[in-house]
Amino acid sequence: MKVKDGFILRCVAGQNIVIPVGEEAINFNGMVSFNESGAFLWKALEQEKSREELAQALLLEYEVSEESAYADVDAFVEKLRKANLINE
Amino acid sequence: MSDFSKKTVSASIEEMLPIIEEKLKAGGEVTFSPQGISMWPLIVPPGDSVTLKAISDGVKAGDIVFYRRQNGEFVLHRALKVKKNGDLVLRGDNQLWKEYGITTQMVLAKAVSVNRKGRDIDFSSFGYRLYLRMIVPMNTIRVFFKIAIRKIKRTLKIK
Repeated sequence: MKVKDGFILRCVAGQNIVIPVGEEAINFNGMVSFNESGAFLWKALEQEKSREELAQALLLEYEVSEESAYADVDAFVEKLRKANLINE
Repeated sequence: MSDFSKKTVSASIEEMLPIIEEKLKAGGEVTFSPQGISMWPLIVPPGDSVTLKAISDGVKAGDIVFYRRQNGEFVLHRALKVKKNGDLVLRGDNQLWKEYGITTQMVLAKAVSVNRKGRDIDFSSFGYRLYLRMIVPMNTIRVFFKIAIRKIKRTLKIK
C-alpha cells in the first residue's frame, strides 16, 4: 500500500493537512487532516508498506498493544480509502 | 489513538497564506469561507465560500478581488471600476465607501465562483448579472434604508 501521488502532508496552523499538489484545487472546507499518529502513518505510507510493516512501525514509535496498533492501522487505511488517497 | 471524527478548525488567512499563495502560483484554485460581512448579500458567513484563482487575464469592473492592505488586512471586495492608469476602485457589496489606488499588481487573486447557501453561483448567469447591474450600484440606498429602518425601530421601542 502507498499513498497516492499528487498529495502532500503539510503542517499549517497546528494541523497536519493533506494538500493536493500543483494545479489541483483545494477547499479549506473539508480537508483531510490527521493527528500525530495519523501523520506518522501517512509519512510511512509515502513508501510502499504492508499492513504488518505499518503496525510494526507504530509499535516502535508508540506505547500501544499489538492489537491496538493493528486496529489503528486498519482504521487509518480505511480513512484514506474513503478519501481516495491510497493505492492498494 | 487516531482521530477519525469531523472537526471544524478556524484558521486565519495569515496562517493559511503559504499554502494559498503556493496553490495560486501553481495555477490552482483555493476555496475558503470568509468571515466578514462586507460582501453581503452575496457572501454570507458562516457557510458561504468563495473560490479564488490567480489573475491571468487582468481585472475588469465587476470582478471580486482578493488583496492585502498595507496594514496587513486581507480584503475580498468588488472592483467597481478600472481606471485608465490601471488602478482599481474597490467596494464591498455591503459597504458605502470606496477604496482607491489599488493596482492590479497588489491583487493576489480573483474570485471565479461563490458558493451561496450550498449552491454555486454562475457568474455568467442572468441572475448574477442582474445583481451586478441593479443591486450592487444600489447599495448606498440599501444601506441607508437599513439604517433608517433600524432608527425607526429604536424610536418606536422607546415610545
